[in-house]
Amino acid sequence: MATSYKSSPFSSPALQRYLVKGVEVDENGRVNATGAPGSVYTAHITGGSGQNYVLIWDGTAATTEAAEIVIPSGSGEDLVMYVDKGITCATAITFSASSVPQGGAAPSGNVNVNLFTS
Amino acid sequence: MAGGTIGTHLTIPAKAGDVLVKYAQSYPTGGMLTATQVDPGNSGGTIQAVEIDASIVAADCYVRFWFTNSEPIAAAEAVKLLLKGYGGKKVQYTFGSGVTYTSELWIAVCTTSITGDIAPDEDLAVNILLTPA
Repeated sequence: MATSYKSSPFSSPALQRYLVKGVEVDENGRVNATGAPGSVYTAHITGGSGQNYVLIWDGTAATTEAAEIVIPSGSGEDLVMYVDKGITCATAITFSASSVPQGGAAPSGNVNVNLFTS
Repeated sequence: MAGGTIGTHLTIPAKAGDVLVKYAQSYPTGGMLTATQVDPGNSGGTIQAVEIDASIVAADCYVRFWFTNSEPIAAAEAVKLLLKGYGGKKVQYTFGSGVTYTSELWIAVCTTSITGDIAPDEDLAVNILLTPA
């Protein structure tokens, strides 16, 4: 399966949320996942065939050694992270997966990342 | 003397075996960053939740975690887990199935994310709920 991303907006008059689904997320990541500033409230990470890391940036580039959040994910692990106040991304929500915590290297195996964001 | 200070390990009644590590870091302006050993056992454990209280800190900060059996060089060694704290706020990260480590656990709080070695100017607190192996 090829790398793909899908952002589904759920809107109401006073509330808008996005479920960002990243399948086979690579080291280049998904830049500006929702097309707007926002906050990440939940990250769901699955897959991988070795030690991987999911990185999140507040910005429009997946710059090596500059991520603001680094989440480890073991081989085949199913990890959910909840953030009560949210990870604030005043510029844009950008994320990637990598086999190293600095980012920039391809992940081991296929890593899937789902983000629940505002 | 590494980094900050560690408070009493408190048992959380909700789940036997869990401990709450209360970590406080205080540095003079521009203080050099060093890591502090949070879990001295080298048999590992699971991080269940992390609360970063930067309520009285003006700027954002970053909590770096290392899973290693010797003191990491905070400015150079790659982190294993990195979480952001927000100036003037308290934020909690909760892991559904926990983040597993198989060694000692070390942390430090820095003004920059992955690189850099300058600690925040003001006091802040990090509370870590973990389950030792």
